[in-house]
Amino acid sequence: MSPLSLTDRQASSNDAELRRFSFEYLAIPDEDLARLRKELYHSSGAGYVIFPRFLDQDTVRHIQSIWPNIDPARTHKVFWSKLDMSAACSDFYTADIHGNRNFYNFVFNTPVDEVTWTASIFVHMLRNRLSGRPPFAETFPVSGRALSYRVVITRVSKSWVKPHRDYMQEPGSLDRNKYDLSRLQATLFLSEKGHDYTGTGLRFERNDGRSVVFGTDVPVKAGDLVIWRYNNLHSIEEVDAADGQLGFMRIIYPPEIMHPPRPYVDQSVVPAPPSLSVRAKTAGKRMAKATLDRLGLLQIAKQLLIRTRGK
Amino acid sequence: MITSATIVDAAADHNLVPSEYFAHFERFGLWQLDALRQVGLMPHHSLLDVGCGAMRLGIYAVPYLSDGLYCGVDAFEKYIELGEDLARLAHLPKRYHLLACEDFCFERFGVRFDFAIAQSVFTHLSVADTRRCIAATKKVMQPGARFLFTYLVGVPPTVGFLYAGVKPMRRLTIESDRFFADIAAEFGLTFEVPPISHPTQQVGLFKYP
Repeated sequence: MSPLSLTDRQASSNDAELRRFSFEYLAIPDEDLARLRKELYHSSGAGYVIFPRFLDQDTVRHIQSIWPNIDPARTHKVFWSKLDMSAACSDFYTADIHGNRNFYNFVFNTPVDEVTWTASIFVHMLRNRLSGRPPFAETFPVSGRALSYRVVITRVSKSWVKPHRDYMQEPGSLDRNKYDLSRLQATLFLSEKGHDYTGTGLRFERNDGRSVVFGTDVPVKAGDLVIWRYNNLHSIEEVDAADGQLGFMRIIYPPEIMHPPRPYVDQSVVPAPPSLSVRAKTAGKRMAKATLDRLGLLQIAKQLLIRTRGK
Repeated sequence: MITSATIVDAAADHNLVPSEYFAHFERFGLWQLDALRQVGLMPHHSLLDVGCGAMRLGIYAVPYLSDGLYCGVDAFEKYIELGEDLARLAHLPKRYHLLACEDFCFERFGVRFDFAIAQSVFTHLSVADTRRCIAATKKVMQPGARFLFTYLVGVPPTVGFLYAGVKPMRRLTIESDRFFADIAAEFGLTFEVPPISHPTQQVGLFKYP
């Protein structure tokens, strides 16, 4: 069927099958989301929904082949602070000696991988529709927050992310950054526990308060997408990957606050600040000096010190 | 009376997410009742709740008012259905009337109202629709009636939006509250800014001759 004849048929028919190229259809009909929203938000629901095989195996293999192997220094800047995240920022990364890697990617930058980029925009659109937002809300840096599709490869970690709840800093606040019951997070699993890593991984508290571990209590495979309530307690616990194993690889989708642009400073080339022990020692000296001064004993203490040191 | 967990569950039953509307349900419901009482609402008065949503005010106003004097209307049909559910869950002791309607069909209640309220309604209407709404109240308000409403002054960069991700809506774009003074003059009303503060918006009051 040529595109022209399809549009002709759409215009002349009430057949819903033929109305696929419509604003409403492309935005995912609200009615299709009712069962999923109940599972996410209702106290009787799990607080998460799984979309099995969101990515097919070819796509999974493709993404698995990209991120562990790129040279991040060529494509990303070293991540130092979220204050560097702005409408004009680059993508960022962290890497350590264990092989753990985080890639903080933004959809408004040229993608390292168009497959990851495209899949991420679809994930974000689905998450937006589920949480009652316009399909492309917070995709671009125009409304305070913008999507970051963060590719995370955890190979060795005791406690990668401590248990916490997001958008619950001040329950009851009118500031939506501090209190928002509608917020959802998404995890696109790109590896499988047992095959690619051992340990715990993503732990999540359901709406009924029961704690579950994905990959153990809740079966998930590489390519599965899990969308879950951001307010519920969650953590990333112990992960261990042997040589030759991929590690716990996934993509998460935090809408990051966009800050005013500021000059990027690579702090790895800036002289390191004094260590904690040096700073504590200096602060201790200052406090002791101030206390002695307040008591009128500073001069006596100085003379005593000179005498004992023989100066 | 009704817990926030019950409200979130009822919303989920109606395919609605726990947006800020539900997150601050009680706070803004009680604010509306308190503000109305400050401008003179008494139990024997009839009340028109324009943009009543899921009875955010109704849940608290129905027990306060005498039987059958609360009338709520909203363009979002899902809210009206949810409002009926919440009213049932709250065991409201008196009768009330709800209507889903997009074209300001206040006359369908067949009531002459003593008070009306539109909380965060004009923030979701165009200039033309705000004018139509006020014109429609003129036909159903008693002499001496009062209409309390909230609004925002300014022209935001985004003037059209998708409410709840699905319903196309407009934002009111006005440079000052002179807009309401002009409409009041046009319809023979009096416009005042009452000494009532709102957590996020400005408050206005029309008085009917």
